[in-house]
Amino acid sequence: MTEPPIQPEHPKTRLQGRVAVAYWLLAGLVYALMGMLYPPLFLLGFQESVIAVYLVTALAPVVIRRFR
Amino acid sequence: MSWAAHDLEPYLIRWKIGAAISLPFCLLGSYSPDMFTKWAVYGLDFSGGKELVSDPVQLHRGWPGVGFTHTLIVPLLVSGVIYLLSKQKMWAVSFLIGAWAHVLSDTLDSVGVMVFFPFSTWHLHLDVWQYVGQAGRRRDAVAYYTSLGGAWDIFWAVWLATRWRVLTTAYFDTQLFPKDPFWPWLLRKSNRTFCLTVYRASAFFGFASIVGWMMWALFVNEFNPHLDWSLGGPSWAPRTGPP
Repeated sequence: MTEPPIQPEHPKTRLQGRVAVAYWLLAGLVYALMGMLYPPLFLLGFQESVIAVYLVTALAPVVIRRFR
Repeated sequence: MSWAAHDLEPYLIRWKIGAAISLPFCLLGSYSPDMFTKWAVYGLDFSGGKELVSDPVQLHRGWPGVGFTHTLIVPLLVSGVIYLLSKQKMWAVSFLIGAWAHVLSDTLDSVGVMVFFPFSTWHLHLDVWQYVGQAGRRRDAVAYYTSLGGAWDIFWAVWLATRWRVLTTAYFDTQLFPKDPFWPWLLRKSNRTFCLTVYRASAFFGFASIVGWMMWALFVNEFNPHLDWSLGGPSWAPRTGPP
């Protein structure tokens, strides 16, 4: 079975771990707020969240690395 | 019917049972009973009023209808097909457990499911909250998230929140990727960001939709914006039993 590639986005410090948790909580809250304001676009199915989750996932290492 | 519970249950099943479960196939199983029918139940318009069928309850949970999707036997047959095609016992079992979790969760509403189909069309329904799908997605959202249905979703969200580490990249890399051949296959077809997206999307949506729908039902929506956690509620909803 193929080994996973190097994972540079793993939090390396306690602060980065906390930032990662806060980052995902904030992302979820923003998505929920947008859904509350316009449910047909954000809250009808998980497939509609895929683009948002992809963007949040791609940005995570960039944001988390800023905190050392 | 349950809402975000179907999005969150597979993560806790994976955490409880461990490496014998393929999360993607457990999620697929959890989504499968409603995958091809929800749009017909609700109609094509969020606000309702564009019904596609005359009797959504009969269609969704009944026979004749596609109520066989919410039975124990049909997921067993589908998982058999998955095994025959893939030779992956893990995928077949994961699909089956995810689908059965969905079916058993749906016994909590007032319509329930045909657990003994095809031997009987009797519905197991525990009447914890009313089935309001026939009133359209908007009205169903109000009913579900102001009733014990919303509490059911919160239960799963809180449980998963206490196990939040299962959603981390480290958990994915050490516990999922090396133990399920689905992930290396997906990585060859896409990239790592997409794999992590597939891994987390359902949980992200599950958490966000509970918060979003509850806030919408209580603070934006103007139709009965009150919590009603009485058994069989909400009290304003029409009593709807098995077809």
